[in-house]
Amino acid sequence: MGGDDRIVYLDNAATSWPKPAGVADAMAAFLRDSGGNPGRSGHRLSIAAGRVVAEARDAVAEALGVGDPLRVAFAANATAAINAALFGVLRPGDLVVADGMAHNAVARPLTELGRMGVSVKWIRCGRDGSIDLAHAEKLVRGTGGRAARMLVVTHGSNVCGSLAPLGELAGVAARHGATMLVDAAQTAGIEDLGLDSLGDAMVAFTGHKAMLGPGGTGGLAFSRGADIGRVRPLVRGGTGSASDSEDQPAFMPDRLEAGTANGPGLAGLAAGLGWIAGNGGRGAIRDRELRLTEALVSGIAALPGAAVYGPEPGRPRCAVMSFTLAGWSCSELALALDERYGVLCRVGLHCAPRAHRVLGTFPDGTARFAPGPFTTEADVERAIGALAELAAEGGRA
Amino acid sequence: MSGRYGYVLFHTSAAAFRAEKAAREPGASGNRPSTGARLVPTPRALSSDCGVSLRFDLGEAGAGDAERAMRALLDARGIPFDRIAEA
Ligand SMILES: Cc1ncc(COP(=O)(O)O)c(C=O)c1O
Repeated sequence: MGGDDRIVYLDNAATSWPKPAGVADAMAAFLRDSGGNPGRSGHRLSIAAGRVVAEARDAVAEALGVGDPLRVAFAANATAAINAALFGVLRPGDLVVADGMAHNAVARPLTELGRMGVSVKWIRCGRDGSIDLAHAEKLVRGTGGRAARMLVVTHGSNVCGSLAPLGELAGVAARHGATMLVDAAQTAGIEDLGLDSLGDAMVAFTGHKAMLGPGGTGGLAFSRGADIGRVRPLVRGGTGSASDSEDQPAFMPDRLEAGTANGPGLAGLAAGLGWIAGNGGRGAIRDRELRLTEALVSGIAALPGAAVYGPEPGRPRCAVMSFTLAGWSCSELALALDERYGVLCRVGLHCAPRAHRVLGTFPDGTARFAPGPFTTEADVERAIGALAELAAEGGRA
Repeated sequence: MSGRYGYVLFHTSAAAFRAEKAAREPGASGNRPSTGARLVPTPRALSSDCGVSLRFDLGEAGAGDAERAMRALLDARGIPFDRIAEA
């Protein structure tokens, strides 16, 4: 295969690819060797499967900064976890405050909760995706002595890569007695979340992005200071525990983990997190991805007709960047990048129309590049080179 | 004479797996319980539940020592459990 046939995969914000080789191996090994139902029976295959799930739980707890792995409840993905948190905590009459960079995984449940009598308020964000902290404070404080029940924060924007200041926002929530829900879909596994240091907080994570696991893994994790008893389980059913009762167990993680776990997926997730730990750790991988992201930002911003959206160089960000190219519609651009250059990215609204309104790119959207741990400098150069040629062609709308 | 076992009963198997890992860690503390700790189906006499328990050797004499060591280990790691029983 010639070098030019190589794919340049810059869609790691949608899902990371390739996965470390150990991920597929661990999943196959789970299906082949430890195929029992984790946490259900007492025979060797069930116990072997349970150990794999426990290993994934330990690794996720470490990645999120949660001292006690039992405060990690697995779910199908970040979306399921966000729904569990929002519908589990909010009641008619409550106030919830969320930021303007929200993904539809947050915005759609909140829209439905709004119909059910929950008051939903949105924090203003700057054109670079940064959260207006004074506005956040004002909204969370509420009016008439009624403060917000919950503050929902998009940690890393999946559109432009802006990064929310979790420490400051945790302070806002704490001052007004609100619990904080962090959508860490883009950052869990690569940023130091330090969940236990965020007061009363929950983090929704997904396994198939920065954690390098397979799709169908994710969950909801709670800080040391969180009141888990307040989260009413949405999904109820078998847990392998307290089986004499037809009530959902109150204890974690069974409270939020009804039904058979995704054993093969969690085996892969543990392998993905293990690969990160064994290859320099989160910090080193993040720094490398950020260097590549900054190179994309400066390289693309220098092209004629290009506009880059999101944080200024040097500002806090994650490894996601968005741009448009004059004369090119997003869809034509994506097609040309894929067919002519093997450069794969995602264009459009990225399931986050609200964020695009903030950036001023609604409804046309942007093209998004997101490097991953296997992206090289040569990949970045090739992507910028491809865009330079397309810019010179003058476009196709 | 063998066959005397202690069983740590847990509310959730997630805690049972943590306890097993802790009990099997090589070396380390004086908290370490006697060898042979392993997960087994919970004896019917102890619980009607379908879960697993951590079975450990109570040893010849001083069964209380093994149990104390096990409690100390679980407490040190903050692993919640229901109770410890003998069977
Ligand atoms: C910011 C953000 N939130 C939530 C999600 C939802 O993640 P998942 O599709 O894994 O549930 C995504 C990714 O799609 C995201 O980027």
